[in-house]
Amino acid sequence: MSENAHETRSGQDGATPHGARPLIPLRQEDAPALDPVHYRVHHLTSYRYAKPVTRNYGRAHVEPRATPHQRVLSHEVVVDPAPARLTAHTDFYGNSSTYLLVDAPHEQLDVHSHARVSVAERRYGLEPMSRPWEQCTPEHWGAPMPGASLDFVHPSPRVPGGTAAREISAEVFRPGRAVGECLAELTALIHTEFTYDSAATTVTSTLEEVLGARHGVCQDFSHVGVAAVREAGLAARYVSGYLRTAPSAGGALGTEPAGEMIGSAASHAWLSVLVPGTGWVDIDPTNRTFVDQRFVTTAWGRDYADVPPLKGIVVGPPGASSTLRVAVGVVPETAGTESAD
Amino acid sequence: MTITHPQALAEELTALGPTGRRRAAASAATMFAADVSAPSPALDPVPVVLDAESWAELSAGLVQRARLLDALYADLYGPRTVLDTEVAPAAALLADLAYLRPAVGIPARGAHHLFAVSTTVSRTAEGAWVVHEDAVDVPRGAGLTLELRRVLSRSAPSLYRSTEMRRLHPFFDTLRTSFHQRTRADGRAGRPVVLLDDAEEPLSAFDHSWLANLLGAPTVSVGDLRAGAGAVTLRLSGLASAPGEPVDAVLRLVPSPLLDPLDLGPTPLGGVTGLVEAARCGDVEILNPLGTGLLENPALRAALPDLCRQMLHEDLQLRPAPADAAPALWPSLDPSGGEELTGRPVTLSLLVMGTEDGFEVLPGGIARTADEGPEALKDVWVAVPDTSAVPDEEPTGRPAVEPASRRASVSAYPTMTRSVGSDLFWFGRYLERVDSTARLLRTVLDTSNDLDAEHSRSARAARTVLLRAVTEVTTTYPGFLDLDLRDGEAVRLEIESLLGDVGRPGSLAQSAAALAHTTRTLRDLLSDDVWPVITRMRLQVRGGSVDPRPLEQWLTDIVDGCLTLSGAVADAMPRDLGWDLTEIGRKIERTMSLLALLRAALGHRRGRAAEERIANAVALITESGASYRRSFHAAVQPELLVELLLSDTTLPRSLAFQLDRLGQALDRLPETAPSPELRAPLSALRTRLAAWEPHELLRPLPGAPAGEDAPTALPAEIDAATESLRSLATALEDRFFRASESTSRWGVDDV
Repeated sequence: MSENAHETRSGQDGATPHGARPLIPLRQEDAPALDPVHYRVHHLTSYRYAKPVTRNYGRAHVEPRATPHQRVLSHEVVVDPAPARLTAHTDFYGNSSTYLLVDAPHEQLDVHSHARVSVAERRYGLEPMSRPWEQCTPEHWGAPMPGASLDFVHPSPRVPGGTAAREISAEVFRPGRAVGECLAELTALIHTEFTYDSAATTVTSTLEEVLGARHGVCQDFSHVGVAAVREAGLAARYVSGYLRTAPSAGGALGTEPAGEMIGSAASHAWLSVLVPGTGWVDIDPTNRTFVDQRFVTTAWGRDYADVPPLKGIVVGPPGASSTLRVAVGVVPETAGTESAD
Repeated sequence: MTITHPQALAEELTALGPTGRRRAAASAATMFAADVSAPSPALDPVPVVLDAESWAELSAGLVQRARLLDALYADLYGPRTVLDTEVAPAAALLADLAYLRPAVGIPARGAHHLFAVSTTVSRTAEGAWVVHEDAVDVPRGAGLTLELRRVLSRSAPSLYRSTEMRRLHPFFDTLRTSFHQRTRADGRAGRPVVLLDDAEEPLSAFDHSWLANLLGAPTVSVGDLRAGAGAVTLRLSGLASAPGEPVDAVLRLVPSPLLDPLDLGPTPLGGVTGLVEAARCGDVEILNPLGTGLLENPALRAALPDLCRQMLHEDLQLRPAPADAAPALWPSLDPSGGEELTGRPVTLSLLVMGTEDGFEVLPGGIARTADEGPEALKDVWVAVPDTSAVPDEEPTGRPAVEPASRRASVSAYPTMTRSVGSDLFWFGRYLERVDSTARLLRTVLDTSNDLDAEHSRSARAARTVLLRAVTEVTTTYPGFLDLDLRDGEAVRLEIESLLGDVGRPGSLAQSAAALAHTTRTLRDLLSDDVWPVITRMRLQVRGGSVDPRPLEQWLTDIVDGCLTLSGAVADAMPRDLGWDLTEIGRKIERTMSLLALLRAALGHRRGRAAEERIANAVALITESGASYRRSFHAAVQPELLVELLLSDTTLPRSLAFQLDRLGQALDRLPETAPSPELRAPLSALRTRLAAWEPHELLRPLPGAPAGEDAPTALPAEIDAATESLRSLATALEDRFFRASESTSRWGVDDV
């Protein structure tokens, strides 16, 4: 791409050097709002151990949280075998954080989260989204906004400052550009320049490694996005959640990926950027889209380390191996799935 | 401005004179190093004296500061309203890695959150007290303050008699009472409060262990604690399956981020998995609470004057230290060696601790010189204005300790934790290893020098066998096995390395360092006489190659040290599980080294003349010469010597003696069930040794080449015996010390 081409094509049309920009869901006076979608969410994580293990400690962020766009109708975490302790508290960021302890020998551990949620349409104000991004920095926040915090402006443990994300940031956040366009561009850029590859990274991959290899999973793409936004001085948070799945032929646990979306049938991650005047705007670089009614939000934080969906420590005989199965279903509540549960 | 001393003190300082003052400094440093088992910092016997008036001002300021930090902790780890105010440095606080989000919302049990704060202050030339920093995550200084007072008051008693000063111990007595009263609430009576420490650095380890001692709280390591549902328990030695003893509170001297690998991220030490949640659920109280490192944030420190007005509606009494303030000068020894006292700026480290009634300041502290010169530590005296104000020995107005609480605190002292058990076992093993290595080297070096001078064939053969035995017994391969033993320089270098190379496993220096390392956690359990010996040994081994004395004398000093340690163990250690573990460690090690010596020295037949020389050396090393002469009236022969070392139950260095004592100690171990892993190796060993017939064992193997260097059955037999001993040691470790389980992280990373 030539610099010149970039300049001329970064205008109002949807085309950019990084392909088509995702459509910004703007509030329209004449368009009727879509009905909320009701989902039934299942998230099963299942470990099988080669030898019995002694104890198991876990920390989960799997309970969908209430947001301006999402209502949680019910939620429950079931642990098998019966946990000696299963507690939940509201964490620093307002997420529900679940602790589990299985304190007897066991050969399998199932952590099964069930929820029913209602997800409303998200629309953002045209005026705030058209403002230059420079007007979204903390000094322009004005009166305290819900959840607005300097916490999301600074580097965090997994998103350090001074990385190569600065170049991405400079390319996206051009002087005077409308913040909505910046976010659309950022989404497209990450989607184009990074290759989705679940074998490329692990939870321990650093941001620098991801930026160097240009490979990663949704968690890495979200970190890249968060880093680029923070380099520009705006607030960005890491969001953990799920994507709608297609109902599977077999039963209620719809674990078939829906369409071409990456990250469905597993836990998913994206990022959210604070735009004064219209609130937090969520973008999903992995799927080159603004977050819409297909997304269910569970938790957010500065980065992955604040809200891993499920992590733990198992105590057992040295060298015991385990196999893992994860199934996620996010299925719209219709007559068919309702009765099958 | 230089502060002047009270008249009486000034007179005594003059009376001491420059030489007396220097002598007091030197002897205090020697005592300090011996107690701490580490090099002493420079000590200055000239105290920093605070008159009652300035102490009242300073301590009121410190108490206010502790109240403010406490209120800030409560807010930053609670509702966090202060972050929304103009006066808090919100950005700096949020960016601080010490702000541990998972610790937010953990309730406090008492009226306040903080248990201890150590604050460093100084005085400006204008006489104002200013603050340099606070240590809140891991407060420090209690033990060192007392140690400084102890060694300086002994080195310069006339100074300490000259002026009436506040004593330190009553403060800790009050604190201890208050500390243990916390545990009597909520049906948690009798549960112990433990001090959690993993300090490696000797000065910190010493400081921490003294605090534990003052508070009557046992020191435990992270590996000793387990978070279950409803309680955090102490994992005790030997009772792997038992539920363990619930603890009431953990006084932690381990930095917050290292405490819980589940919620606070990966920790190199392992931490206590689930500790954060246990604290959140109220199973255990953690003191200071988790995440207090945030209170050390420099931007927060700078904002304290505003925060104090906002949160306490008071003016902050102790201001932050301005960068350019001229410091007050305190009379001190001249660091450049001059005879007159000179004024030096100092900082004071002071300790504020929480009691049931609020915060109190330890009336004393550590003064550190803060100028270009080398740093020296000084005692801090808080003067008593007049005799009527001397605090009563028996604190009045405070309820006397009821018998119930005394009983509770006795029973509250738990049985041994796994890490302490392991350290006692290894203390025994390394003590014997140092002893046997020193004895072996002493005899071999001495004998080999004589033999070297002889030039006869048998002398040369004996020398070769003995030097190689050193390599084999200390397992410092290839060592002498690969050397041309006629090369005097090569032999000398190898010996030097065996003595002083602390990085070489099996060397005397490494074993001595390992011995000292095992004692870190044993301060409460070993006699006080142990520490000077450990220190001397360490210094001696470190200075090894520059020591001008003959090697034999040098090694005899090491052997003397081992004898002193043995004596301290034998005469001062309670005969309980700890003693048994030490005893088992010693007996296993001594058996191993004796077997290795016999194998290396007598495993092959040689010419008679050579054998006699070798056997004589073995008799010397094993202190069996006199018994041999009494029993056999003959020249030392391998068969008879082996007979004696194998079966004489009266000889403290014989195999029979070791196995007897080993068996008795194993019998005393607390066991929930008979343990075949422990018994089987010992009975296998006994059976094997009972079948040994020295004349058979030492006969050249059939088909072996006749003459010198003929192999016998001894090496194979000894290998088998050593194997049994190893399985015993492993079984013991698995059962009593080692975490027999491993922990691993899991998580779903495919998002």
